[in-house]
Amino acid sequence: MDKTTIIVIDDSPFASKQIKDVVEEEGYEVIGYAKNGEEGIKMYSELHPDIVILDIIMPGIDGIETAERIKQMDENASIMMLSSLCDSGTLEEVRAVGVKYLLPKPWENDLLIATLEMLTKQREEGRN
Amino acid sequence: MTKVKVNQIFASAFETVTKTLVAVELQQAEQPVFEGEKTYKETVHTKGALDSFIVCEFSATMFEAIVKTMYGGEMPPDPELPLYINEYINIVCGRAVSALNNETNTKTRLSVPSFYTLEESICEEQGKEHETKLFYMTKYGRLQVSINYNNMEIS
Repeated sequence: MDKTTIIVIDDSPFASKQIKDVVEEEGYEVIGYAKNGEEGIKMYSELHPDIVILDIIMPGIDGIETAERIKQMDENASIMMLSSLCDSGTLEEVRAVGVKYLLPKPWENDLLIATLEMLTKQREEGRN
Repeated sequence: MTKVKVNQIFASAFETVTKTLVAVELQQAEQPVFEGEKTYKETVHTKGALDSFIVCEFSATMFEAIVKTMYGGEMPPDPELPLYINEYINIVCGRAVSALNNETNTKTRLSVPSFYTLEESICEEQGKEHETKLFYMTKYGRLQVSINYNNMEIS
């Protein structure tokens, strides 16, 4: 069975490495890193990952606009956001661009994996 | 929003996140912990309900303790140093801003942090109506935070 593929869009190498270590141990494959929104959008269109893990506060366009642009390219894109901004207003903004999941930084690894499992399941259900 | 409340929200974020992220216990001090010596510095702005300019100063040993832990036990190459300390400040201040937003039902957003080496001075305008400070000692070094802000509309 093919591994679920992920790209990480985050300007922090600390976050990117932590994510890679955790998710690859659980059988996911990180196929690309982008350090800003523009790079991430280009990477999404080139690599077509199953899941995008996206930060909000980044240089250039922020994560919410990045998610919106990816959703405009592919309305079925599976995106989860990780951010230190995790208040109810930010969650509303995230949901307004079609993203269901926002996890706080620093995150709990179990919660990260559980969220990826939910996204993977939703993708599979959407295909069937 | 009173000065005490802004101070408490940022103090809670600095103390909680520093313990969780880099396993360092911050102990509040009554007085400034730097006296004219060179420090590493990070600055960040908030816009929205809380219009602020935040300056965080680190002693060299404190800076190294944070960056080393986040990099996995050693110092990263020099060009990567800002990326690690930026992420630390991003997480701390994001936590504080989120708490503020939830508590006051308002919206404040955070800028990308900026890094200054020991030799660099902060050239940005710091003039705001109010200032509140946090002073910390740890077994790894010292940390000082200055939150310069304009009145929030809510009380």
